[in-house]
Amino acid sequence: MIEVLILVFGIALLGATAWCPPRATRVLGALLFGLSLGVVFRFALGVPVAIVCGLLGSVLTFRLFPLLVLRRVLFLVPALVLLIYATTLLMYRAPGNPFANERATTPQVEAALRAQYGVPKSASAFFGIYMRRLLLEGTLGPSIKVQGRTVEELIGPAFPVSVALGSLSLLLSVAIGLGLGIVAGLRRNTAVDHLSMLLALVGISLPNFVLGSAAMIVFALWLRWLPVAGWGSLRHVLMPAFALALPNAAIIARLARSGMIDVLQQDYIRTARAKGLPESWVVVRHALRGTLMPVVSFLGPAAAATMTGSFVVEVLFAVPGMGQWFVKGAINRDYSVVLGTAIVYFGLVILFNLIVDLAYAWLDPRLRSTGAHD
Amino acid sequence: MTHQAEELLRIRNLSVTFATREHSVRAVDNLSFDVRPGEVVGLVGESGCGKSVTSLSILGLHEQPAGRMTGSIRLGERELVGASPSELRAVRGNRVSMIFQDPLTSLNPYLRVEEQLGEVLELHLDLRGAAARARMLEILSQVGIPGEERLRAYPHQLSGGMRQRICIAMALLCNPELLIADEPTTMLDVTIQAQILELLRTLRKQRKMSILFITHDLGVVSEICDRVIVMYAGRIVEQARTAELLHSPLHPYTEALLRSTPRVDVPGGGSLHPIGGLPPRLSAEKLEECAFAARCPRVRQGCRDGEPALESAGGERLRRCIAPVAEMAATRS
Amino acid sequence: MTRSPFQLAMQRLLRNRVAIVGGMLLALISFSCVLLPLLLRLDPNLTQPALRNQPPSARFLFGTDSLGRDLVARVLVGGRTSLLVGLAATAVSVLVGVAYGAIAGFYGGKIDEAMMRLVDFMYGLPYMFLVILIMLMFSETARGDMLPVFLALGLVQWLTMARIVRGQVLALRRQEFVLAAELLGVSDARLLIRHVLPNVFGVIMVYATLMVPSVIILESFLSFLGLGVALSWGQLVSDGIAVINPIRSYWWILLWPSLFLGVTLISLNFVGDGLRDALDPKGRT
Repeated sequence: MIEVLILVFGIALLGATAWCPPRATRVLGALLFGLSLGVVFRFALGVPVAIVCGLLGSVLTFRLFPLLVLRRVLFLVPALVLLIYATTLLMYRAPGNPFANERATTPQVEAALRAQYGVPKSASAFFGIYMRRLLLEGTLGPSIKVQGRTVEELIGPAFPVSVALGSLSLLLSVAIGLGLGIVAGLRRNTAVDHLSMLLALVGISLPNFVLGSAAMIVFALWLRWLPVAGWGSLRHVLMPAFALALPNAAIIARLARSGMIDVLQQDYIRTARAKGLPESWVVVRHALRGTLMPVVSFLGPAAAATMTGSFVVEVLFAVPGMGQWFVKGAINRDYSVVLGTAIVYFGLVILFNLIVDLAYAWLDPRLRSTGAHD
Repeated sequence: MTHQAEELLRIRNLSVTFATREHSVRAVDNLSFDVRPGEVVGLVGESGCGKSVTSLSILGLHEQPAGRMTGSIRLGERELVGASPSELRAVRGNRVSMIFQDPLTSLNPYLRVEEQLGEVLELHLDLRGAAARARMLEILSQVGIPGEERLRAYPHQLSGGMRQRICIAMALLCNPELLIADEPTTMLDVTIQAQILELLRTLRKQRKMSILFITHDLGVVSEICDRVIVMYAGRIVEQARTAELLHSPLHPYTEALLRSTPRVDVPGGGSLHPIGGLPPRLSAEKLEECAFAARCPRVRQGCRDGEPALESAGGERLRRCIAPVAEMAATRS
Repeated sequence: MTRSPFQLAMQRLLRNRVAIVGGMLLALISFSCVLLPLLLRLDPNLTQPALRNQPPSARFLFGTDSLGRDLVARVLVGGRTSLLVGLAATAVSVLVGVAYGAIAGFYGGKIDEAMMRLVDFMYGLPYMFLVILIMLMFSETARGDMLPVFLALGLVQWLTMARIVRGQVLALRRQEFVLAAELLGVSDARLLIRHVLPNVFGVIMVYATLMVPSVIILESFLSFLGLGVALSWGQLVSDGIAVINPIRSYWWILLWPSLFLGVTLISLNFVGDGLRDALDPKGRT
């Protein structure tokens, strides 16, 4: 019970960051950014480099980042911590624990195991141990179920696979979506427009594994152009990446189309035409920026949707990504593995959202001033 | 009436019809007028009278789906109605420029001032780099914005008056022969309005540029226009030199417009005299009666027999009304 | 003769042929899934090993699967689950989202800012993560119990609804009729419920309709991963994929559930788009 209260208190605290004055936001936001940077770098590069990078990061972001972004950092870093806490609570709340399935576990043996792995009976205590271990020792902890391996060792190889798949798929989504949407918006109410939007509708309406399996049947079984499943070469990446990309591409196409239509009705487009600009200049130099805005704001949820979809696509195409570790860990109640994958996923999403925020501020000069509104 | 060689802009029998799903709307009906070099002509009327549509027609800037234009718009020797898109683009921003009502939305919020000015120079005059900057600074100082910092600014960082000056500067970069100004002062407050009008007067004198000034505000008309054309329901109902029009209007609509202007010199402001009723729906069919008949205080029997013709009332004056001139002079309110 | 905005919207909707087609398809599918199994006494679980993997025939219109079960029965009964989950989870989203968004939009200011900050953040989370955790955690004790599913899935979508409702309420709050009621001393709750929300109803309907497909897709994800609680289209597609092999193609096991799933989702999108266009033809929301 008390843990739920802590959670609620944490959420309220997060909301309260809205009231933080600008100066404090800048300082705290930069500090938190540097801290996070340090923790992340510590994994790969060791303590001294991490500290240096962390400090550098703090100073740079303090000077360079718009207030808007620093406010987000101030919110997001504690939010990440809260998320990890929430995940811990969820795991502890579920029936079973890592040690219950072992063969003869007497209370003493269990207590000894718990002490060894640092998994006390209380969720909050576990959370404390875990975070301290993470920050001070720079490790995600030992896997409870896989003897003698740390979580980093287990998910390490899977991490680049998932990141590669996800990034490629996002890139494809944006490329296909923008291409289709912009053309549809420019050629409104023509055959091209209707066809594009029909394709987009189909893309939104079918789950990615249905599209993926259809592609599998057509391209791998009938035409034999691509391998059915697995990982290892560019040809292995194509189908999973496309299957993952299509639903997002469809949404982006619709956003880009309506964005383009909206922008083309703006007064400044009329001014551009009144200056005698050729239509290509009007579209590229003037209309494009405004069209991109709704697409860029969608990129955050798009990344989340890509991650969500990746679980399924990785299973379908037997891609050795992080999804399998998460599911295995959850089934086996391997708390460390679950938390480890959770941190990586949430961390990636948060990082991506920050990049999107920066991109948004860069695109729209009205958001760059220090007194930025939300 | 006027010598062929003298006109800069010659509009004859311009009609613009928009087709919607239910019916056609004829926004401009058989319009004819001229603009001479160096002249400021005001185009006045209520919202929906067709003045904006007329102004947009000159450069072919109607929103898609575009209206159907018939008639002739001649700029010097070049015919603009039916001209190819590339011909129109050569004219726009170059021989004829346009400024609009809302300077904030008329400027691209994502681009700096220098980028927006620069593309005009690059396109029409093939000027880039230092030469382009020099020209931009020159124009900016002419419109009253000295200093290089403004070039790097974004529109939202400038005040309303400054933005309109930027728009004017942008319109003047290529030394146009005609400036079309569509309600350029409506969204500005009164003091800024005065400054902008003063600027336009100065520029007109310096450059011998013509201005087609569209507005609904007769006060603004009195400040800047040489000649005024009053439009109603897509037609011209009166045309005269400014002083004549304001002193002795020869059309009941003009009278009503003058009367409806709130007075500062009357104690207590006087009562307001709005023009009762609504403007008519503009269909493509021929009018069976005078367009203003339903709202006209001087309406009489002949008004509903058919649309009056636009006739000369001496000199350059035109009027489209059957009420006798003498009667109007006698009962002037 | 003036028509109410609602009537005008209805008129526009009825003129939208695509939306009408979608609506009819939806009705057809819903009817089939709910009533046909009862009427025809179909049993989705009757295994007949001797008849396994049969292609479509007069007796088994959709064929049989690897355990000899009639696919017509399985697709129709599975549809019940998918549709039910779609509706119930969307209902949860609507309730939570409308409440949250209405409060944020109504009170505005810092409260709104704080609440929306939270929403913005959660928007970017990979939901499947938490949903899977919840499902995994509770699936052993709750097999057959759909409530966790509804809740878990419903909690994914409420964000969109919250944002939409908040935007609408925020705009309406400033309208004169609300301010007038406020001046008359109407309480906050009453203002919100009787004056503001009825005007948001249309938008809520539009987005609710558009949310159902997303929820159905999410549920199909869960089923595909083996985490579903009951027979649904997602699970059937998963079955169909499991038997894909280069030698023998049992295309019918994959085709029918995919078809039903796809048609249902597309129809829902057509109707939702149609509602949106009917309500707001200029696309101002």
